[in-house]
Amino acid sequence: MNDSLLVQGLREQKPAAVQHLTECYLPSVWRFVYARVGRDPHLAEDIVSETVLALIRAASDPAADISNPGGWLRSVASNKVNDHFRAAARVQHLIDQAKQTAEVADFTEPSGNQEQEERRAEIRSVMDGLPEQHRLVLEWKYVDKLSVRSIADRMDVSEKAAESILFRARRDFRDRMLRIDKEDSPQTGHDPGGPDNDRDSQPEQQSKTAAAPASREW
Amino acid sequence: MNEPNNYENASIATDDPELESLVCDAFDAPSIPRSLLKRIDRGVAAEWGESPGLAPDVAGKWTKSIARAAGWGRSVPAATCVAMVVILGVMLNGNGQAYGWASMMQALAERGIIKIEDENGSRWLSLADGVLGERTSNSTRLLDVGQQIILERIDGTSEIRRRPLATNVSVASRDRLMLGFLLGGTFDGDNARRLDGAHLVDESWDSITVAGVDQVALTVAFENSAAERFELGITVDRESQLPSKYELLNDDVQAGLLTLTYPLATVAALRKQEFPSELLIVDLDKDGQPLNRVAVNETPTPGDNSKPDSELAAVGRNENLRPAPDKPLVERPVVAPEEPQEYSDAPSEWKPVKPVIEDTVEIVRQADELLSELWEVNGVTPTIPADDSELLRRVYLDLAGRTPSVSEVRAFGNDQSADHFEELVDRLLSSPDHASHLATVWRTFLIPEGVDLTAFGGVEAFDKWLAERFSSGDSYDDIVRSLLLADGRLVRSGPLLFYSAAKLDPDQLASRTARVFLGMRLECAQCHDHPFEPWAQDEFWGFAAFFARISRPKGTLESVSTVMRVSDVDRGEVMLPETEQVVAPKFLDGTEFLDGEGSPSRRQQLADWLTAAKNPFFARATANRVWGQLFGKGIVEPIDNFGLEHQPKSPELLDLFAGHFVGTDFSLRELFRSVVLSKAYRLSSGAASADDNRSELFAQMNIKTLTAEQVYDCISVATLLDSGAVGDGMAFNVARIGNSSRAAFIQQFRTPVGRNTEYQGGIPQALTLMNGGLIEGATGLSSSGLLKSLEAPFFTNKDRIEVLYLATLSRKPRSSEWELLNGYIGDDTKGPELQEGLADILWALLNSAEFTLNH
Repeated sequence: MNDSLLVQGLREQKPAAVQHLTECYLPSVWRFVYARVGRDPHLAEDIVSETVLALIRAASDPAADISNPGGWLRSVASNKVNDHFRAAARVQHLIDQAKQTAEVADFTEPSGNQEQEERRAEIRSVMDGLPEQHRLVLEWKYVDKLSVRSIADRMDVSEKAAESILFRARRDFRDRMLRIDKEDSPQTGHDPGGPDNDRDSQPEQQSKTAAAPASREW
Repeated sequence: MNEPNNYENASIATDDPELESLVCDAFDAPSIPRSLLKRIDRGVAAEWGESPGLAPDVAGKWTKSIARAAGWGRSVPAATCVAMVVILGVMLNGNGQAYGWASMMQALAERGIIKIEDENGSRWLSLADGVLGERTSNSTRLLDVGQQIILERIDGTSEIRRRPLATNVSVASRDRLMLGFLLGGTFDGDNARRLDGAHLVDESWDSITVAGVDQVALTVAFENSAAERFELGITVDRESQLPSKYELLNDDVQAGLLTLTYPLATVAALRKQEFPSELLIVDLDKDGQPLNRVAVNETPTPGDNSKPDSELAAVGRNENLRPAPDKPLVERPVVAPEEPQEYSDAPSEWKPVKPVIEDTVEIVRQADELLSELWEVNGVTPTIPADDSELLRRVYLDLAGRTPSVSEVRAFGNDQSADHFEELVDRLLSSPDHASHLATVWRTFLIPEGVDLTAFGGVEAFDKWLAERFSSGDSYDDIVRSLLLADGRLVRSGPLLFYSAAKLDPDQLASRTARVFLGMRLECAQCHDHPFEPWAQDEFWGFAAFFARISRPKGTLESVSTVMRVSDVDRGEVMLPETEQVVAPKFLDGTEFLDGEGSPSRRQQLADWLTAAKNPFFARATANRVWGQLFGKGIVEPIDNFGLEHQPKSPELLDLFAGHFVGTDFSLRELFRSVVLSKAYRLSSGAASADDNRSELFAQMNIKTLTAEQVYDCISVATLLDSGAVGDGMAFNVARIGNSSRAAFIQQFRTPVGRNTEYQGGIPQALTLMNGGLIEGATGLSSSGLLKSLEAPFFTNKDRIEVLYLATLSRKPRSSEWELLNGYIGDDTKGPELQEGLADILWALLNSAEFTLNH
């Protein structure tokens, strides 16, 4: 089932379309949100279920133009995460008061852990910055451990074409990582996220004071 | 990895382990919760008026099987069925505990042996040990994944075939091992390759009731690298989380419902039963072609050239089949005195140790007898024996230098066999952790503190060399000979650091050698005759003269090139201070020094004399050092100050262990084993009343302060701080060598060498423990591996607290502690409050006196 058939199926209220959506796109959105909400599974569950139901509602509108449901889900999920943290920031003083605790101290992580966390955030940012198709095939192949044949089926392309997309996705990923490693230095404070990565209000935002070595091998 | 501009030439192969590991790490998240699917399902149903069936009753097919097997469906009245369906519905919608493959695997690893019987025979598995056994109608096989070997015995034959595993599977591949076990068939070759890349792709559970008992129907699906799918339906006990029955749900396989049982056997017992040690072993290569034929308990000796190297290596791989001790107890041509040693004589008059040729059990029996006599004579009543948790923590700290992990604590507690402590000791003594721990401990007295050896490779190079020697089971006399005879370029590090650290000075080398290997403080006789012991000044310099003929740089050692060679030269003497009197080499016990044409070099003669079985000091000093390391105090105290002023508390005990050390060819491992198995070592460190005499005479275990190295390692293991430290699966190995954060911590926290019963925790150390980076990382909500692992939904809050106690103190909370803890974290505490509460408890435990002491 390709993307347009998926949206068509949702519009026609076909259960198979929801199942396809759940199978192909839900894991990726779940991981995306889970990482962004500080690994809080309850919050992630709230946001992901709202996001998926929002797509199903949006698809029911014949005027809606949803050509890329995977990207649509991520954009909406990202907005919902930001909304949540903005709302939480507005009532933080009430939360603090209720807990009768002082404001959370800004403690410094052990440098090793911080670097590791920063590295993960960098990788997620690079993945977020990839074209939707490239990001998805990398996740399907290396996180969901799908075979190339299954990926090809999902994308509705030939196995050879899927291999080729996967190859280009890997190259794209490495190019971007290499660029970050070159640019990233203790002085620069470079944000690898790009224009689509508004991380101002997100918990995984990290200080760049302990950036990775400039000459990482890629 | 390829540079970007080389990608056009790069392979189009899709496998990319490095990228895979990066992306998986960055997107690490639990699988999609079933509750999310249900929410979406309900949401869609509300929109469309029809459910898309995202979270169906997956247990349906499976439940039917169970019901069929149990036969209850035929006999239970319809009304009861309806009632049960209602109850089931309530339970399915409830917010009870969650079950999954991971929690089941954890329970299985802690349980011990799992057994399955089917029409082809039976098979058993110990997940913790990575050992799988199969029994068919005509043969028995055993796969030891840790040792990467397969043993096979055909019924009616008297030989064991041993061959390497043809498939690359490690103990860490627990899922594959378990899956292979459940699927059945030979877990090697094509059958095992079928499981390549197998990983969990789906799981779900539901509550069911079978014959009136609440159970969990767990459905799991695995997929291998060829996208072949294996689906299993498993009935899991609600309380223990152990599986009781399972069925392969693949449509193409009709295996039926199989039952899992949990026999009270140990791997060692099953192994002994199926592969008796008296049988011959035939080594085969991977293709099944024979390599050689040797008896199981025939241990090759280094000088035995009749066997090819491959055979020696093959025999060496199968250590578990060898009887203890490591080395054969061979009679040695030693001049043994019949009279017991009188320690009131001057040390130079001491007689050689009489070798004791007995097995460990007999040595331990004799030691227990000697200690009982000692206590009786001195009117001392020993304390009660230590309980399992106290003994477990102690033996891990003493032999592996760290506390046991949670699964190790549970595995020991679940092992009900009579010799479970002996088996644990054997396992620890052959672990990499023991070798590296021993290396760091022994380095502290082989190389003095405060010497900068950075230019020569640093102490890590020395630790590494020493750990390798200990790990390979080399005899202690060999190791000491390597140290004393080290030569080559300084930059080669390893044993040469012993010389570099002493700056190649004969007097420094003499005093260190005497202290460490002979237990004598000869340096007190350096400037004048020894004030308390009958050592004259010329005896010290006579000993120093053995180190006079080593090539050494002019000027200070720090300023010389590291490519300079250390070697024996034919000139060089020592003189008495402030005189020009040359002192000739002289052995401390009056043995004649050979000084003529063709005589061995001075160092060679010293090494031969020092490590000889008839040397009266070497074995005694080593036995005393090992005893002192394990008890906190030596039989002679201080441990490196033998002489008239410091008599052994029990000369017979000292000579028994020294004699055993000589009798086992200077096997350190055997020496540790016999001391640890003694009754005295197993006594409690607690007593109702204080009695200095009791702890002095080993009738009560001394409480020892953890060394800086142990504190770091314990925190690291307890809080899963360094996930890279976990070696092959369940065998936890600490990364001790080349760990810079560990080195920095040790520098800050160091306690004085050789005073391990004195707590030296000053303000800097206390602050390090309370606020230091290590503790902050270990108890931080975002960085602590332990705290993260407790987020798993199948834990109750009580479970979580219990895990914190097991990880840090190797025991469960006491009832008085529960009272306190229950007030702090209740059953319904959750979210950030729970996380912070657990972090606080962990912090408090790490800062408790109980954690920083070995008791």
